[in-house]
Amino acid sequence: MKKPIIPILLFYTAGILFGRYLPLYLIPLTIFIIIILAAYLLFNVVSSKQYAVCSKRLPTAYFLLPTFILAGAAAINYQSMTLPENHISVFLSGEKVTIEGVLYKSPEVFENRTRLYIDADTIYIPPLSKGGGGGFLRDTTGKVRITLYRDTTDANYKDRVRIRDVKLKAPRNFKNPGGFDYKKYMEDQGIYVTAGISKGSQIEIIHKNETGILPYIYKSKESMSLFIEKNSSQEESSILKTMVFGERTAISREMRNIFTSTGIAHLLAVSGLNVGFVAFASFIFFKKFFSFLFLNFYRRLFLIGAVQRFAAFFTLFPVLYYSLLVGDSPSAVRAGIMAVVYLLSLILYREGDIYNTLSLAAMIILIWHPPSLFNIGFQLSFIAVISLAYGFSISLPPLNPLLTKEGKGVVAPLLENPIKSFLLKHRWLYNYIISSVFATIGTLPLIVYHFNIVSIIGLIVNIIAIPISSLITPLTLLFSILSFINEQAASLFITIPVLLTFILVEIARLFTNIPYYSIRVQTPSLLTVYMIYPLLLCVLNIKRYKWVKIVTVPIFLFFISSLVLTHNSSLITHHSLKVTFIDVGQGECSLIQFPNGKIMLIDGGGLMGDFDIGGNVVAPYLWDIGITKIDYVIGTHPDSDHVGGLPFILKEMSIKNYFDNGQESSDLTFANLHEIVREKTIPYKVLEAGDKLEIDERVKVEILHPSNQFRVKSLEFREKPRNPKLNTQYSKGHDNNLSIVIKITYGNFSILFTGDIEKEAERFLVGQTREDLPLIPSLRRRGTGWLKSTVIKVPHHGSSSSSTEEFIKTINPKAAVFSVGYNNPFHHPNKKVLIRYRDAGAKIYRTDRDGMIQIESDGKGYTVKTYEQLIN
Amino acid sequence: MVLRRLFTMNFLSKILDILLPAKCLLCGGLHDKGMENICLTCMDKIPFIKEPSCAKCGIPFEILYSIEDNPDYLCGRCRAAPPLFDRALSACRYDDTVREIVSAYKYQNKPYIGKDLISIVFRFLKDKIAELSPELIVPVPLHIKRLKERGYDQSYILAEGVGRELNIPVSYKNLTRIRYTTPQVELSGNERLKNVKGAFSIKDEFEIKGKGILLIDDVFTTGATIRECVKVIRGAGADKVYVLTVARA
Repeated sequence: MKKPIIPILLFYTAGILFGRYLPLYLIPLTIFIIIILAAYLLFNVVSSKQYAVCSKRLPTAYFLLPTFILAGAAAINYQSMTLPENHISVFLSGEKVTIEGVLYKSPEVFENRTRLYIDADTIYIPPLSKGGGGGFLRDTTGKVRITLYRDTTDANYKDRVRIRDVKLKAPRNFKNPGGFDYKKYMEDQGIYVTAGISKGSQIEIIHKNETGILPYIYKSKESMSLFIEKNSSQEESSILKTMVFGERTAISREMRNIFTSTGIAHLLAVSGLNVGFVAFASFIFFKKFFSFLFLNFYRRLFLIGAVQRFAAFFTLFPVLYYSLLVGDSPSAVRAGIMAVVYLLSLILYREGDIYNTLSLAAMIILIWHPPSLFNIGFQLSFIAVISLAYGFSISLPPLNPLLTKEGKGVVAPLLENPIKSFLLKHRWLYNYIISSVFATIGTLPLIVYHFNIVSIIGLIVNIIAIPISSLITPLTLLFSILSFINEQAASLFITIPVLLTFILVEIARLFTNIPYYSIRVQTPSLLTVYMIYPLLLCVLNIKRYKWVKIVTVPIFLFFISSLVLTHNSSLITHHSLKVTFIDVGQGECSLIQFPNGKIMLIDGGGLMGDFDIGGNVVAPYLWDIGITKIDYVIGTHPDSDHVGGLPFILKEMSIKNYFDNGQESSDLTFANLHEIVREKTIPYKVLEAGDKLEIDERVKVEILHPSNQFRVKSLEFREKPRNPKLNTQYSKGHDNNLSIVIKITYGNFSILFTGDIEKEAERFLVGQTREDLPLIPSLRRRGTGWLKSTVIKVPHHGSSSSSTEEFIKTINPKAAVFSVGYNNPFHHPNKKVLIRYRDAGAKIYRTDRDGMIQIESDGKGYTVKTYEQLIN
Repeated sequence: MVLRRLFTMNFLSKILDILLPAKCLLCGGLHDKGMENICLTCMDKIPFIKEPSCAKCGIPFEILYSIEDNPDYLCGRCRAAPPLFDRALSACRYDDTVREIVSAYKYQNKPYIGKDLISIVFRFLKDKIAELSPELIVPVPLHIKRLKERGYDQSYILAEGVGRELNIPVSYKNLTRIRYTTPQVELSGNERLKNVKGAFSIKDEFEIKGKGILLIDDVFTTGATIRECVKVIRGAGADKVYVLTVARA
């Protein structure tokens, strides 16, 4: 067998997929069937002459391959099946506990928080009541991720720490169909428990561990990044640290955006490319060195070609050092393994096979950590190398003109003669362009699937950026290491890579000025992604074999039909009004799909620390269901839990109209919002009571609040001292009571969106229905029916300051939707409020419990589906 | 115990086979353990030179006739203009298969193919070379500039292989190329002669004087390079000069 690892890898991978997606009890059954089949086949091969040829070709060992399925299935489920009884996830009581353990990973330092990864071994649970006995100490196992907010710590890799007063919790998903499975992702890292703390003093370092090779390497990394920080501006040092040392946390969001939208984000991910750069640079260096040495002193060694072997051997060290330094990304591990195997092939004089080596790398990573298969970085890295290698194999003109093999070229014949001869002369250029093109094409479907972004100029930027970064990485590493010896000289030299980084960033920035440099697209179906690879293979091989032509047509038809069938299929609402409350944790975001296909988004979720709900939850959901264009975006009021996610939406999607209540806010995100609206020249309007939106002739969209009269009145409220408890989060110069209230009516069905209005606004609104109070001139009085709605989005997340009995009675809802975060610090929704709604006869839906809530109406009745029902 | 040792040895090589499967250089197929980089099937394709051949330049005769009674039979060219060397030996003809191996060896940075070429040489020629009993092996040298480019000296690797097998010393510093010449491949017969004229020199005549010298090169095409080298070696006072190449045209 030329590539013996490939079949093993394929079977093992199949096992992993199997183990993850099939119910466990099915696996032994399937394996059993496969083994029976294999045994049967084996028996046949051995016994009958008919198969003699076959048996000669396939060694008997191949019939053992199905066992690798079993191995894969077992590997992926091993962790969850063997959780010990005292695993730390059993101690999630909501009480504050003290844990003790060892850091199994270097802490990740972000701008305003630090993540510590601890392998816990002891837990102390304090007594329930103060002073009373009953606190106890337990042995435990399991990994915990602790996030330290707005403080720093000295704890480092392998240190033993004790952390006091932490509230352990399990990672939680946003329950939206197709959303990122964060819980599973964390469990795949072995983390079942997380916690947040706010003071560095809560961490007590019991024992500092400074022995062993890894702590040493990490320590060297730290002092190197310190050296870089010292010798470059903040922007460049953050990029260098990210690019060279894999400190992906150092870089700012804006900078990351520039890299992502120009298609060079892979440079920030300490991709395999970096390991390759380091290997290449050190190989060249050692080759020069030994050439000089041998030519002048050991001529015989030079003559027999030992230079290359020596250089390869010594290159192993920087490669291993760098791989350990940047560590845990699958891409770097892959590149490290491949580089080592390639160097071994030079040392041992055995030619390697790139696919075989690639499979070996994948096999090692998947045995070490089976869930890596589902890691986006893993997938991208391997698909990039596969397509690059394949691109070479079909387009490489033979290296030596004497070695002409026919029918190998696909790309070469396409080129015109002068270009061809130019490229043949400058082979490196040809190779380089070919590899960039193929790597881009190969990764494109996956990038579109995962990130919904197509970088139009990505290829060009890459072709310019890769050579620059190929200098930056090894030079930075070299000079940083030099800084241990002579810091003055090193700080002088380091200006070279710093300057190169500056150029790199400026080039990327330049390209972002081109209109449409990247576009956002809806998520393709998984089937489309899978179909595109065989299709590409067929198209590239159409000239080589006859059967390919025959196969291409059906695949192409299948591809087109799957593309057509899945395109916007979920957008067709069949003449019904669909209102979706997206689970955004503590915050609000409602999507309305009108019967004629128009889309409206009311609010866009919040901003949780650095986590952008708009970019990570709302937009992915919209792309998933095929929305890239929104007709109306409405921000009810400038609270970060309502409009915090909107900047991303406004920036990255095509928006036809943006409306809000016109309030200015000291809140940063909101100022940002108005800026984006101006920049993108999105039509903007301040909504006021009495406005009507003409969206669909069958659906009435009315703005009920705020009115000018209320604005005048609200000045009076302001003067009254407000409840200090409520002031903490929300009163930053604006008023919840000025939230926009919208009522949407479709036939018999109506729904009321209330933003964060409180008692005062509620009373005012209810007052409008009474005859004795002055009416808003623009609204015609309609008695109590004016506010009455089938469904209400409960105001202010069900806070006790809203939802007065009178208000509920006036609205008389059949269903009430609470958009709240699980275990939120504001204790929303209030128990009394819940009871009030229940007593009023409304069915209660909560996003913290039910996940996404989708209400669909045909103008007569309505149906409600929660997350559980939506995914089934 | 024996079993165990066998196991560990085999085990390591098995792992290596999985990591870097041994591939035949020519057909790309997995090869049976035989030679280093060329499988036995491909080895059989190599056109080895068999008797009868010219007793001087070693060119095989096209027509098969019995010369058993006259092993010193010379070819027409050698009779018309006797070459400078005493005897030239080649393992095989320079056909497409061999050309592929040799060019991979020379131009593709694969010095390890030298081992295969040595085994090609020794397949039929070992006794013949031993019979000649040369006292010193001299490889045809590369110019220092070319050597730096290539990273190894293909003739020296062959020379060292032959020398080790037959226990003959190899001289690598004596015969040197003092002038940079364009590659012979790009030139025609007459140009080649002119091209290499005066390109070689001997540093230490004493080492060569009165000895039987075996000159080693990879390919014997028109013989221009060989001729020039032989001339220089003869000039240094060698007793006998033999030429050994892997292939000849």
